[in-house]
Amino acid sequence: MKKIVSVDPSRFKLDEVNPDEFKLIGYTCNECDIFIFGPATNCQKCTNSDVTPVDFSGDAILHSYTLIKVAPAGWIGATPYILAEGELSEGPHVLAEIIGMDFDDLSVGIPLKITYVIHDSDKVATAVYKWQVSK
Amino acid sequence: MEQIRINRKVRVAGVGLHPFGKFRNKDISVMAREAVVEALGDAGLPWNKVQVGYFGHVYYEGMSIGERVLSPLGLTGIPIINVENACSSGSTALWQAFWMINAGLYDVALVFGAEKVPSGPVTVTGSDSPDRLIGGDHMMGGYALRMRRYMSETGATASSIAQVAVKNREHASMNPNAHRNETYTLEEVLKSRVIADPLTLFQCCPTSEGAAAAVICADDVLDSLGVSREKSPEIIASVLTSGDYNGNGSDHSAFSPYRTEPAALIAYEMANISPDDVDLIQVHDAATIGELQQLESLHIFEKGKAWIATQEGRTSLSGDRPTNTDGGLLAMGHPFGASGIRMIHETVLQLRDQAGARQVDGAQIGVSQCSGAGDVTTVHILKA
Repeated sequence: MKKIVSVDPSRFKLDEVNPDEFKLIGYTCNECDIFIFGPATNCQKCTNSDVTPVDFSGDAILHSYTLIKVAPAGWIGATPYILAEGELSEGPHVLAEIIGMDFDDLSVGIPLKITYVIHDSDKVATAVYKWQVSK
Repeated sequence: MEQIRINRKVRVAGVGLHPFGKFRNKDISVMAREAVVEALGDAGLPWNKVQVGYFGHVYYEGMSIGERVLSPLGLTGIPIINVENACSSGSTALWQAFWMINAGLYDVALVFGAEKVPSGPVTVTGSDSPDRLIGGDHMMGGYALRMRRYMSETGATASSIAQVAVKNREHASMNPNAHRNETYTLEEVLKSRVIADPLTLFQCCPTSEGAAAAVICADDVLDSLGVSREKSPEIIASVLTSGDYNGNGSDHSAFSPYRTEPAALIAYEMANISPDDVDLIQVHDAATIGELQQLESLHIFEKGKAWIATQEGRTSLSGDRPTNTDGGLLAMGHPFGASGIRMIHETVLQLRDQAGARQVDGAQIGVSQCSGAGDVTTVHILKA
C-alpha cells in the first residue's frame, strides 16, 4: 500500500497510521494571541518569534466562493470546481475546493468543516484538504 | 511608518508606448526598444544623457533583458536594473528611479517595461507549488471571491459591476494602442463565457504583449538639458507598499482588499492634496471588481459606493471622476512589466492635453495605482 502524504505538511497534518486523524495547522503568537495558518517563524502581526504550533478545529464559515470554469495549469481535479474561502473559527482564512455540494446551493455564511481527498498517482497518494458543508 | 519626504522635484520628460496586443513573431526586446526610442524622442533627449535604467518584467525571457533592450542604442556603461514585482513591476521600476533621482544619485533615468504574457489563467506560484493541487492559485478566481463578497456586503449586482467593462471598452474605442478597442454591450459582457463565476471573460483583462517607457528628470537639470518644463508633469508622490497584517491572512474581502488604502494615504500626504483634488484616475482593473475596490481604497468614493458611481456615469470620460481613460487593463490588456508605465503614459498625455478624443478637459492632477501579487501596491500622483 502506498504511503499517504500531505499536500503541504506545513498546512495540513495527517496521521499516517490513522488517516481519520487530520488537522489544518499553524501557529499562535504568545504575545498578541493571533492565529496564523501555515508556516511561520514569527508572528505576522507583531513579528515576535515567540510562536507556538497549533492544530486548528477545522470548523469555518463560508467567506466567499466561486465556480472556476477555466482551471489553471497543475490542477488535477475535475473542472469546473468550486473554490471557497473559509474563515476558521480561530480567524485565519483558508482557500480550498468545496466538495459534495452543488454550487447553486451555496451561500455566504454557511458552516464548513475541513476534510480531504486522496489524489492517487503512480508514485504517491497525496492527501489534499477540501472544504465540505457541515450538516 | 515614518513619511519619506520629497526634497527634489522630478518630472516625466518623455513617454513612449508599443501598442498592446499579440505580436507573436516580435521579440520582447524589440517591442521595449521601440517604446524607449519613442520616449527619448518625446523628451528630446539623446540616449547618452540617460544615467540609469530600470526595466520592469515578470516572465522569464532570458537573462538581463533590460540590457538586451538597450545595448543596440549604444553601450554607455550605465547601471541597468531588471525589476520583478508582479503586476507592479513597471511602476516599481518608476518608484526606484524616482527615489534615486530624489536622493541625488542621478539626474536622468529611463523607466521601461515589457511583457509577453502567455495565454490561459494567470498563476502566482511555481509549477511545483502545493497551491496548484489545492486549487487556490487562480488570479481571476481571487477576483471572483472578492466580487461575491463585495456583492454580499453592498447589494451590488453582477450586472452593475459588469458595467465597468462596458465603460472601459468605450474609452478604449478612442485608443488605437489598446489590445481590445471594440465596444461591448452590457448584455454581451454578461453573456461572455464564465471564467470564475460571477466573472465572465469580458470582465477579465486580456493576457497581452506590449511595452511602455518613460524618461524622468530632475527639475533642476531641465534647463541645461533643453527639456520643456511645460510638457513635463511633476511626480508629486511615489509610494510603494507590500503586504501588511490584515487579521486573517486573506485579501478576498469586500473593502480594502489590497494595500492601496495605506499607500494612497501616504501618497496624498506626500503630494499635499486630498482625493477631491484628483482630476483623473488610472487603477488596476485586472477584473471589473478591481476597479471598484481600488477607487474606494483610493478614497475617490466611499466604501461600497463605487458601483453606484459607475452606474451614474461618474467614472466615464464625461463624468466627474474619469477612470481608466485609455481603457485600463480591461481593454488595453495587461503586459505585467509595462502596465504601470502605461498608466503614466496615459496620465502624461492627459496632463499635456494630448489625449485626443479621450481628453479630460482641464486635467491637472492624475493618480495612477497598480497592484500585484505579494500585496504590492504602487501609487503615483502627477501634476501638470
